[in-house]
Amino acid sequence: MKIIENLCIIDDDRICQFIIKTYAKAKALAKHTHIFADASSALEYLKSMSDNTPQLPDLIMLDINMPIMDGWSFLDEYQKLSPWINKKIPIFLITSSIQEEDKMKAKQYNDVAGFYIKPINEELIMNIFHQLPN
Amino acid sequence: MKDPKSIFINSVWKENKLEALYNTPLIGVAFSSKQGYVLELNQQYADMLGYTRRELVGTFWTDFSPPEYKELTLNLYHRLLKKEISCFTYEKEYIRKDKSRIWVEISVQSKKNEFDNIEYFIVLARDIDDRKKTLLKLDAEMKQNEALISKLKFQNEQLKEFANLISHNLRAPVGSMIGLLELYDSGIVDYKQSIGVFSEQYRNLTYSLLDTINTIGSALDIKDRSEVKKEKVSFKEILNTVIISLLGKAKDLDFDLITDFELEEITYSKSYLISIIQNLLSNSLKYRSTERKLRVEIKTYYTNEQEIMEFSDNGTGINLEQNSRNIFGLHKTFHTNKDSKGVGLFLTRKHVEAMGGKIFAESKQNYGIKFTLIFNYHENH
Repeated sequence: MKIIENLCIIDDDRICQFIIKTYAKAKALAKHTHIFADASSALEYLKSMSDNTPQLPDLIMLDINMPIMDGWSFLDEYQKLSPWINKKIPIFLITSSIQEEDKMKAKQYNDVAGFYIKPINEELIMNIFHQLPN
Repeated sequence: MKDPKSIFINSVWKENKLEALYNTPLIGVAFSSKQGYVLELNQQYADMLGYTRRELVGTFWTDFSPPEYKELTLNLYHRLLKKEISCFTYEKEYIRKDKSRIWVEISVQSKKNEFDNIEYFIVLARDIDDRKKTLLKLDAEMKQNEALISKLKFQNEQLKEFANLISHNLRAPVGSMIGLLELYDSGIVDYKQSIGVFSEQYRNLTYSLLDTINTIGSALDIKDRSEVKKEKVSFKEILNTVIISLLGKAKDLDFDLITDFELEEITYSKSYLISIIQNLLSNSLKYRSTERKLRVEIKTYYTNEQEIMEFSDNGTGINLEQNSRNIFGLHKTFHTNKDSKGVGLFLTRKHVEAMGGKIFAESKQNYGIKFTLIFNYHENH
């Protein structure tokens, strides 16, 4: 399994942030973890880092239901931005939604590498990391 | 001048060859003088009106034409007399001898002599009562069905929204609780170091879950407009009520309030309108800018059959460019602060929609926000 440089978590839920961060730290999955509670500041961060390949995330874990800017809007904006981003970043949706239409919707986005349903546990996180290209 | 009756007798049969038509039971045929008196008519015409032929000859047209058709009828005959038209066809009702009404289709032509002078009118009438009444009934049923369909659509959307709420807003905190438990059970964190973090997070989750359940409960309590008590409510009075209720609650009530109630009152649920204005106003107070004195403007007016309220402030605003649908959604809030963003506007939207209205927002960060409410949106759509 690959150990990544930069893990990016976009989730307004502080407990989910905490859970992912704790597993990543305990299992030494990522060297750096960037946490964003709102999607628009994550977007700003990606814009500012677009040329800085080593600093760009190697993996984004994205929540769907967030205030102001939700995961879908983030994906829409990211799609516009991605030609200028100097890295192919796999995005994994992690949501509490069990609605089938959300899963279908996720398939329409090329950048989405996977769709996972909360609760977040060790198995879920390990699955995501096993899916990463070497 | 010749007597109209004699002109009629001389010309009708010979010139118009109407005999076959006159004898058919399918259509009413009558002749009317230029002044509007019945000169002669066939059996079918008399039957439609429920009189005998003898009773009708010599009567004036207003004797069996309902008053509400007077203007229309006069107008059409005047145009015939002025020779603007040579015939016309229209649908109207007649009053029968027993005072009941019958729908008829009428076609009128003027009969002219060799000098192009109008001698009399030929009036053909067809009984369309069954057809017309069926159509009117269908029309009423259609309208009723449309109202029912729009109500069902609305309810279906409500259900979808609640499915969504359960999926996101209720599942999320439960998912987090399970996530925390599993993390705790995995043993990868040091028990002694983390117990404080765990218990605090558990406490927050539990309270937020209770908040969410309460909010959903309040939303479910909002009744549809057909079930809620409506009355004439004045914007000025409601605003006064709201301001009085905010005294003591809001920390800083020093702000400029500009009102322009061109539309002074609407028929609405009083408690819903109070709740709507209260939520909007307390949001303005809460999200005021630190750089300038808060200024709130409330405008009401009536345009294109729509009752509209514009509510705007010069507060911090919000960046709505990327996403405007979320502002009225219910958000998971992982702090116990009941004023947390989302709940107030969520309930405001619920109130507005339950009354058949629509609310939307325009905003620019650091410039303030403007809400537009169309109270009677669904009555017009």
